[in-house]
Amino acid sequence: MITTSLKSNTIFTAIFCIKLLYSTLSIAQNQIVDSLIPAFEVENNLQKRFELIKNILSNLDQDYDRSRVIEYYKAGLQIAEETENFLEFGKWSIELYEIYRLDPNDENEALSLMKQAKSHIQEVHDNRVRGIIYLKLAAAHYSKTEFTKAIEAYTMAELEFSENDSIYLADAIFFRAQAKDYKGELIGSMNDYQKAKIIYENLNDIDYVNYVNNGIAVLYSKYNIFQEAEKIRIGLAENYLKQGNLNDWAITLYNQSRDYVKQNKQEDSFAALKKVHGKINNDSTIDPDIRTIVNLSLSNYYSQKNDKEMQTKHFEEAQLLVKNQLESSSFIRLPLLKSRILIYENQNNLNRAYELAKEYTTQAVDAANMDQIIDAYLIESRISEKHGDYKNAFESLAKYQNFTDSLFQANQANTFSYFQTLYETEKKERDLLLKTQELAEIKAKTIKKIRTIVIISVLILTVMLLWFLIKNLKAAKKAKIQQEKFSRDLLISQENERKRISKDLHDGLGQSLLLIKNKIILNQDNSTSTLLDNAIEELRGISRSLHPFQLEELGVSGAIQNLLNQIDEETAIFVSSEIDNIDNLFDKDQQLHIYRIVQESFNNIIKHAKASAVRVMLTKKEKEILLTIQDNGIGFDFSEKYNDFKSLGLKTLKERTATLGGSMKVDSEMQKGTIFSFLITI
Amino acid sequence: MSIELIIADDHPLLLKGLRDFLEENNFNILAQANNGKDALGLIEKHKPKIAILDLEMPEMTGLEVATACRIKKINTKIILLTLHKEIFILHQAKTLNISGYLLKDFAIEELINCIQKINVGEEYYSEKLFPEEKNNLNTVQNEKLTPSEIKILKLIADGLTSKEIAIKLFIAERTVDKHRSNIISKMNLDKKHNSLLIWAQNNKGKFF
Repeated sequence: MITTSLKSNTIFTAIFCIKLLYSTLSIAQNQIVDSLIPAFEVENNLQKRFELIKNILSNLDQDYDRSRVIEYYKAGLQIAEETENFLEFGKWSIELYEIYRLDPNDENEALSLMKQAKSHIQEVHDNRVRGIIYLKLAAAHYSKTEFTKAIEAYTMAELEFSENDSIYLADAIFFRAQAKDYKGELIGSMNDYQKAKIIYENLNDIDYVNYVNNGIAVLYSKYNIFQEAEKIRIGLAENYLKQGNLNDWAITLYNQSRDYVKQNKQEDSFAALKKVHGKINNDSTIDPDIRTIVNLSLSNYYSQKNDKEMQTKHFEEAQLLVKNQLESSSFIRLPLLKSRILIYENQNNLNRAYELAKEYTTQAVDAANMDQIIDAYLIESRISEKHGDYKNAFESLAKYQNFTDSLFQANQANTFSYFQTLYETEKKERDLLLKTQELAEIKAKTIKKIRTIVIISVLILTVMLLWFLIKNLKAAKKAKIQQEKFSRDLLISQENERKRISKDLHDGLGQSLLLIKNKIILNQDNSTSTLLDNAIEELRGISRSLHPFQLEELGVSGAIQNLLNQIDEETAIFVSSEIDNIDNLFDKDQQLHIYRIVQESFNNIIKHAKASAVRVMLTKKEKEILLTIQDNGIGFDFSEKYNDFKSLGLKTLKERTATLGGSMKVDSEMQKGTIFSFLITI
Repeated sequence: MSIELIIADDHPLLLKGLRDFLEENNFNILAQANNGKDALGLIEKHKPKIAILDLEMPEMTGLEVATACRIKKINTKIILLTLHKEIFILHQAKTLNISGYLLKDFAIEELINCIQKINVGEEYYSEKLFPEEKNNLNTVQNEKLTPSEIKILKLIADGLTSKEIAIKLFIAERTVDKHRSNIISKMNLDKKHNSLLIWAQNNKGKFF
């Protein structure tokens, strides 16, 4: 089986090199080359020589003498090194390596070439070329089975490639995985395979994904992790079948049949082989190697079943294939030998079987193929026993045991560490997942919490703001109401006080004065009597102005009319009026206010307006009364006067109007007069 | 038979003084009260010919008592005797059911005269109630010019036309013309167009 995987590896590498080959395979015309060579021989300028070589090489035919091609490359490399053109030096090294690689005899040359290329790698200012140099160096080490150095070089290559070179990157990792596989680093190899697989998948390179899967499956079965290997192979086989790639499909199933054998599932193995045999045995497009090995395996199976007929039939089929197409195949030599031994064994030709078994062992040891070595010792032991060479049988058996145990131990350790890693990785991943979930939950909770807090804060702030605003508004309203109430109360108490004083003056002082006057009259003191009359008259005036007594008797309309008559009589102002009866519309206090408004308006007019005429209109409307007092005086600036604190008259007017729940309007024009309008709701 | 009276005043000294004065002059005081309500009760009870009431009293004012009497159809004549000097009472005496109006400070001089006049069915209003005459214009029919008429007269004297006067005084031109004709008839002037203007200018000093 390992043989098969090695073979696959070779196939990959072949494809790989086609990707990288520069123009060495271009169709050349020897005439051009022949004309260039003399010019090259005589040219002394290094730069020109280099250009000429380049030209020659690009025109060389494929079947041109290989050694001459190599010489031209070497000359070119020398010039590149002398002119310190290390980028070209690197590129040429890569191209020459590809030529060396085709001949296994040039392995050492190839390695030293790439080592030289690596020594100048610091001067190559192109990270892709640098990466490819490392790749080739690694390949050179790889083919010399220097896996540790190969791995190192692949790692360097990996570091050089950027994301744009992901195909090279994947190759470097993929080959490193194979190198690690050979070194027996199960886990490192598996990791690299997975890494490479991801990159290939991203590149949509299905072929290479399959190669990697193949590698992984081989790795698994190598370490007896059969379940994983089987899982991958089933998928692979399906893919190959879909692609119509019967060759690789057959290889995959064959490999799987080997795994079944290892697991002692002889019938599963047989079923797989039978399936492959039925599909490809007569298909000449299929690699004869695989057709042969399937037949041999079937032959071996029937040998166990003691079905001599079938055993021989398949063996002969295999033999025919080898004879016709695979005479010199090293891959098929040992399996063929083994099957032949089994044939002789079944034919009871033990002498021949014994000889061949010994040869098989020797060849297997030469080939250093562990599976085959173990297999060979087992067969040799069995046949030796049958042949009667018990000593050799025992020795072979002992060796078989020894190899099996060591292989088992090695594999066991590897497998154990694989599963441990797997377990730890899973555990870590689970932990990580758990932690991530926890973190996500905490984050979600925190966000929720923050959101809640923010919402609540905003709500609280809004509520507080609203509350504050409402409170402010209420306070302002309350203050206004209180202010108005205060003004009203003040006005009322003022009126009450005036009324009281008026009454006191009238009833107290007035009556006293009367008594005095009566006495004086009796004493016939006329001059004192006159003085006293004046005093009484004055008292009357004060009393009346303090409280309009007539208001209570006449009602507001009559009182206003009376007031106007009085003003008309006592002043030079011509008063005209139209007074509607509004007595029943207002209570005593309101009537007093209305009366006072008229009275105070006239006070202002008499004091300031210098008016010669006043017109008073008191009009009753449906829901309100309109009182206008118009004079033809000098007019004034309302806002100026209103803000003047000395102008208490205007303020009081306003307050009284407000107390009545009415509105006051003042239209004043300088030198033209003033109109006071009061609109009072009934 | 002496005239029967009811008197009311909330001021006890004045009430006593009044009673003494009336009795000295042989009037028959049927009853006296010191508030309006009692006074009304006494009037209802005694139905005197005349009641002398103070204007301002507790419970009911003199005017309210008078109004009540009229509503209750009591024929008692009411004389207001008060310190208040309110022209409106005089102007509305009929509606208010007031037959006499005296100022207390001049009561002694006028009261007897007043009672006698009212007793024979006349009315009596104290001369002292009227403001002092400011002008001494001669008028016919004993009619004085009103303050408004005097103001218009002044404007006429200043040479303003009726229209100008109307605008100046915020009144209708018709109203001015009415005042004019009133003045002309009161002063017994010629009905010619310019006669009032000429008269006003000639007599300017008299009504200033």
